[in-house]
Amino acid sequence: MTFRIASVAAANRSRQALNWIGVIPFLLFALLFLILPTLNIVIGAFLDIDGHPTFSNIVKLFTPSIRSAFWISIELSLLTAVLGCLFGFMIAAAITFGRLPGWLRGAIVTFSGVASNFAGVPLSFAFIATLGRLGFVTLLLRDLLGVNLYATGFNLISFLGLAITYLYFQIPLMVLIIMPALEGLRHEWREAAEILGASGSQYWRMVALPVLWPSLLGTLALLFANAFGAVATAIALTGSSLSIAPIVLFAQIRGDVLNDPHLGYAIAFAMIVLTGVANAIYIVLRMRAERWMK
Amino acid sequence: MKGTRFWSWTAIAFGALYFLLPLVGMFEFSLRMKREGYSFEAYRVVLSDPQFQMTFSYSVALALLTIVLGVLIVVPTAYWVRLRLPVVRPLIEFITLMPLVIPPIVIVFGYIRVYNTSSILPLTGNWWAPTCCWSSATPRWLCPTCTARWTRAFAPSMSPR
Repeated sequence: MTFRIASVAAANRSRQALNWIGVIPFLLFALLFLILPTLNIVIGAFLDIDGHPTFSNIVKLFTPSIRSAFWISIELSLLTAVLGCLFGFMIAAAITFGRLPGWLRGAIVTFSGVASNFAGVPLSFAFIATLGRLGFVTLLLRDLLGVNLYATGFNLISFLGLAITYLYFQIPLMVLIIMPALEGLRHEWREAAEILGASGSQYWRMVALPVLWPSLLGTLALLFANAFGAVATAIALTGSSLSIAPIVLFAQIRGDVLNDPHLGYAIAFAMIVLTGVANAIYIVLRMRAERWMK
Repeated sequence: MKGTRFWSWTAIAFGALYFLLPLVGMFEFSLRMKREGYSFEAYRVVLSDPQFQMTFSYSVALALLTIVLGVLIVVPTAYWVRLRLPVVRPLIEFITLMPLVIPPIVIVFGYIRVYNTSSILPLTGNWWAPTCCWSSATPRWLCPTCTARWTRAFAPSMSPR
């Protein structure tokens, strides 16, 4: 009897072991291409050139040039996240509640899927061809309206220009993420509010937004992380004239500027920490938001 | 209710303007190769350039390979986790979130440090006790020449944003 129980337990255990085999390829891949490189960065950030543990790399992050690069990055990411949230929310609300024709809704969702991944060199080129010194819109404004865009102080290769360009992938991402939340708002809530005499703005202020705010803030955090990691767009657009954190890291990788590899580790580590915090906020708020969606 | 509709169309119109103008601008720019007017000259030149054909087919092949590898790894895992091993679901979800947390440029930095090696096998370049391509005293992962050469070749194609 005991023998049989033991053998059943052993069979169970071997089946359990067999079950783990199925996830090995994925875990191996994640280990090799996510976890090892990340660990390498995190450990490297706390080592000096001879391999001794040190905090000097982290301290060096607070030198003025790197601190200002991070600061500009944070400002840029925050600005594009907030504006992306705002405009993306308006578009998502328009297609969810606006009684627009069905084909338009499908077209916008599909386009958002494409545009949220449209970044890097092609995106920068599109904006240079549109708002650059000889861009389509710049020339159109000059020839038709007599407005010289660049005489007003506008420059595409600047903080503002970069923000306008980033919005091209931030807004669609917001649309894609916030649409399910908007669709989760039940008709009954609106009807109940209306029956109780609430106006449209009261419904939004007292019912819809309190339900939506975790989703909104969570998406804000995600958009922040998204903009913070964007590098190819920034490099293609500004070269190295605007010093933001990803560009500093890129320069460090190419070995052009800083001659201290471990400072590169520290920059990479700081970027992970910042986007990690933003994503932790996103995950926590999303779990809160999903309570209402069940 | 009429107001809702009006504002919706306004939002969509502004959105369309912002999202379509750069595409139109890019297209218009591509037609401006000849001085005397619009033409498809740029497309003709680019499409007949063997260098471009090579780069383009390389990109397409790379993209297809990524899709195939991605499907091969993810679909069985999703099936397996869902039906056989629901215990690891939180772990798998955590791992799938990691690329969101780690910016592409950072992960590329990590790849260079771990895999920047002249050997075919990964991890044999010895990022822990390595020697450099040109000076045996410098570890490879600290050598600007090695990393810069590698980055110039691979990093731009590896970071999507």
